[in-house]
Amino acid sequence: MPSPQPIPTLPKSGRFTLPPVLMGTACEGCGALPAADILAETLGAKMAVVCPASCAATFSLSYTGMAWRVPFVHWIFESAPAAATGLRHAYDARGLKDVHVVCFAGDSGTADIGFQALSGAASRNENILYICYDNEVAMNTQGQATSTSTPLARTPTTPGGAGLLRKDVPRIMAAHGIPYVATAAVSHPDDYRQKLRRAARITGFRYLQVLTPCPIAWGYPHPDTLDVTRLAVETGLWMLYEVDGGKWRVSHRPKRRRPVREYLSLQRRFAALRPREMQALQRRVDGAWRGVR
Amino acid sequence: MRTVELLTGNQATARAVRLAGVQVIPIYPITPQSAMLGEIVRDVEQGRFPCEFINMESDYAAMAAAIGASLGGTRVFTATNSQGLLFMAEHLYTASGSRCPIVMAVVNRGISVPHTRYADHNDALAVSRAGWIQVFCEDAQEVLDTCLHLYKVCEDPRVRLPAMFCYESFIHSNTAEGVAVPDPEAVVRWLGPPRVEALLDPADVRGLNPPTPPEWYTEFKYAEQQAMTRALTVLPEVAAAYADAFGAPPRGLLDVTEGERRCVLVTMGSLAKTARRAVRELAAEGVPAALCKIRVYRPFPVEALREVLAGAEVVVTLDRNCATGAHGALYEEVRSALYGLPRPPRVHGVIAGLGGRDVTVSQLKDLIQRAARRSSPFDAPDGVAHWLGLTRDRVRDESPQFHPVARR
Repeated sequence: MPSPQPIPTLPKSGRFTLPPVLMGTACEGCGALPAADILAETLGAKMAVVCPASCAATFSLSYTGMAWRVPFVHWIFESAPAAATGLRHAYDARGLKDVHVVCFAGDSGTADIGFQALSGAASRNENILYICYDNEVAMNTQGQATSTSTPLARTPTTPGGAGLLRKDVPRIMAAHGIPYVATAAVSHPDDYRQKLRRAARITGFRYLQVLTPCPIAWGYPHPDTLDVTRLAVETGLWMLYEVDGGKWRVSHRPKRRRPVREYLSLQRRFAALRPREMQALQRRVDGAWRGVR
Repeated sequence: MRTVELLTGNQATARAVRLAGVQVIPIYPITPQSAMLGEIVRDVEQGRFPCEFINMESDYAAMAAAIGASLGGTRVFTATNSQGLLFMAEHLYTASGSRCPIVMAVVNRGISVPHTRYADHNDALAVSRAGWIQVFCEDAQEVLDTCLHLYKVCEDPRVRLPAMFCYESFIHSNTAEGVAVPDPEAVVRWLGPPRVEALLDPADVRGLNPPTPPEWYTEFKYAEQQAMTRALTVLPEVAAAYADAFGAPPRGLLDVTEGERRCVLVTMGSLAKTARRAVRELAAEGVPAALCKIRVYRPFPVEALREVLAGAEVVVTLDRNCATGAHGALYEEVRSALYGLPRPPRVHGVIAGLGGRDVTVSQLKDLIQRAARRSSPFDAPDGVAHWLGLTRDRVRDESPQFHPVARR
């Protein structure tokens, strides 16, 4: 259950801070909060945010306070990049070319119900910065599986474990030929910040997918969010890379990849995993890194 | 002040949009709106029309972008119909709830299944509860005039609602007629610069659409309702100002023919054109009948209609739409509007012209004459619609397998 207390890990600096009225709307240990905060801190006041239905939409705004200090709209689930397209062109028509139009969307709003609008805006190379905060579930509706769920994860809609396919959205976005694609993780804020800064200097469609764990859906104690995220990176399950102008670069290579078992065993969603299944995931990760220089 | 040109409904729309100085056009092609899209692209490409034209990836995205652009403070246009309009449905509510003065052309086309590319009003009427002003046009001239009216109406601070003007697939969209086009500079002067509030403005930071508690939701909906009610005043006011400025015909909420109103045919869209001729021919033959065209369907002009129909004996509603399990839209609205009149007229509902089915002058003359003569003029009992020109042999009641299928 969401906690009524403010989360202790929330950075106090930056431009995304929950006013008291919104404190109860976010959960302790929510990975999306630092993802939003680092975004706000890095881009500053020159942006407007379109946020489709998601946890973030819920904890961003109330009638008596908002967490963002920039224009913000709580948008329809499936069409944030389309709305952002219109806003971008309106700003362009009004000569506000230096204002970033940013989508801050969850993985459902990105990879599933919002996928058509995402692909459409990318195909037109709209001058938009798109941030997908990926907690691998539809957490605004109690954590159902999405197409970015880690294979074999248990969720309310996959009680026997999610399927073996995970939609690799960053690669799909790179295949659109857009100028910038990157992955990031809240455990590696400098890497994330650097990618945001790079993206902010580019014109055209820019896509970042940030791993933002959810202690409730994933089933780990809320103070461990950053540790769990770090393990996702250090086991190699979540690869940090960027595709800048078509050039691929791994931005953080774990010195010695830790076994995925260490990451999986921390989380209740993988509690029923058999050793054979863990090995299958390990082989998948090994395979993914084989081609990486 | 006006020059007559040969324009299709689609061309009249494209011209009106250019005259209105629209700034952003997010749009997605659909038959038969696509020819209009082509006109706009040509104007933009050839430098005649400086605007942000966005080739969207779907109809719902087009409406999402239209709203985004409106929230960004610009004058916006888009167009769709049939499947595309239904695909937009969710966003239509977003537009009205956000009080965006977007103007949209809807080229009325029947809804699949069965697949059709031809005219009826089921598309626009399916979204008639979405908080949009809806105006149904009779010809290309009315299309052009109405589009210009609506930018003025929608951006009026008393209204601030989106609007769609409707005209029919192929009957209007692809048929050329003489259209009097007003002088561009005079339109700019008359319409003025966009009065679109930028709700998403870096200079005035606001957060839009917070989760709304039950204590507030009703009031927002009531405010929309009040704006819609005020549109009943603003629409004819703007049309009158336009008529004054350009020597155009005055256009009210309704359009009623001269003469005795004992027997009145109520309809909208292109059927009004056919009915106009039927009524005129009947008058020449000594059968008095009148036509009442519903021009503005949302907000529905209840008071104006009651005034027109107060003395009538019989009313025939001609619906180019059907609501399975209910009645034609006009039949329901008209019956409801007449409730409480001291001596209300009989109302007979007729469904006609679905999926582009032709409706002829002689059919309408026959309808009116039968309705004028007999208290139960049609096969259908009171309260049940008469389906005009139905080939009953095709619908075998004993066969539940009447599906639109083909075999090799």
